[in-house]
Amino acid sequence: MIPGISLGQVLALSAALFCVGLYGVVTRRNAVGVLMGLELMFNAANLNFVAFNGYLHPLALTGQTYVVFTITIAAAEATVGLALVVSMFRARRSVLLEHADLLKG
Amino acid sequence: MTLPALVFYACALGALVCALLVVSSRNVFHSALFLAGALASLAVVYLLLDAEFLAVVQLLIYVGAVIVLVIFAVMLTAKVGLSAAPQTNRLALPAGVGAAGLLVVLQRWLLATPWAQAQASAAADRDPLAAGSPNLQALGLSLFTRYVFPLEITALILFAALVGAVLIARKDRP
Repeated sequence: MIPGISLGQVLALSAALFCVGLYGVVTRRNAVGVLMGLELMFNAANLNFVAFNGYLHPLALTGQTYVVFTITIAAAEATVGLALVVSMFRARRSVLLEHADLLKG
Repeated sequence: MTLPALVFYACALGALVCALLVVSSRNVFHSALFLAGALASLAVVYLLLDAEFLAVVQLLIYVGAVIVLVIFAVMLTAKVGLSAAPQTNRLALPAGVGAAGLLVVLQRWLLATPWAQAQASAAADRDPLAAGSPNLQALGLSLFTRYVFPLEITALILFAALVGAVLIARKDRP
């Protein structure tokens, strides 16, 4: 734990990061921008895990172990997501999400 | 105020400013660079929270690998003149209000929760795997004993993602 900083302050930082990422995911037109917002939200969740681990269970490492898994899954998600973006750009010559309307009736 | 608290405030401010620039910058390439800044600031926060291994992993995997991947995607898909167009859709105002409202609700919950009490009651239980060993050693022990099955599943997921990404982004379709 950080001396002089309470658990609530770390969680406040993570909540703010999550909301900023959420705003990015909802509003971005560019698919890569949406993925960047997703990464911000992943990182907010990771920070929560590490903060709860460090403040409430400083002698156990369960939260940090989970974060290792989360980072791995997030990296896999980024790989597949960006491959999809590149593939979409090849098919439609655009990465703007309003142009991905093939399934729209 | 102690030095770690000062470093935490500086990194929190840096991460928040970088995150806001990620979602508001018109140029996607600049967004990627600001994302790198935000993730690097979070690595310092991990370091302060006694998670040295995770700080290094954050720098290597996020700032190293994922950002490079994002920048590659930006460069492969960027069009000339795209940065001049607005980067947000027409949901910008309601989404901003919604995200700000969610933030207010979360902060009110945070203020209403007695964290000091939870800290005092929960800190006593000790993980037998982590007892008396440094962070990295305990993390490795925990990953390869108690969590060895999830670890193998994660390896499988990474392999599947690798094959899938190559298949999806390949130029010549079978």
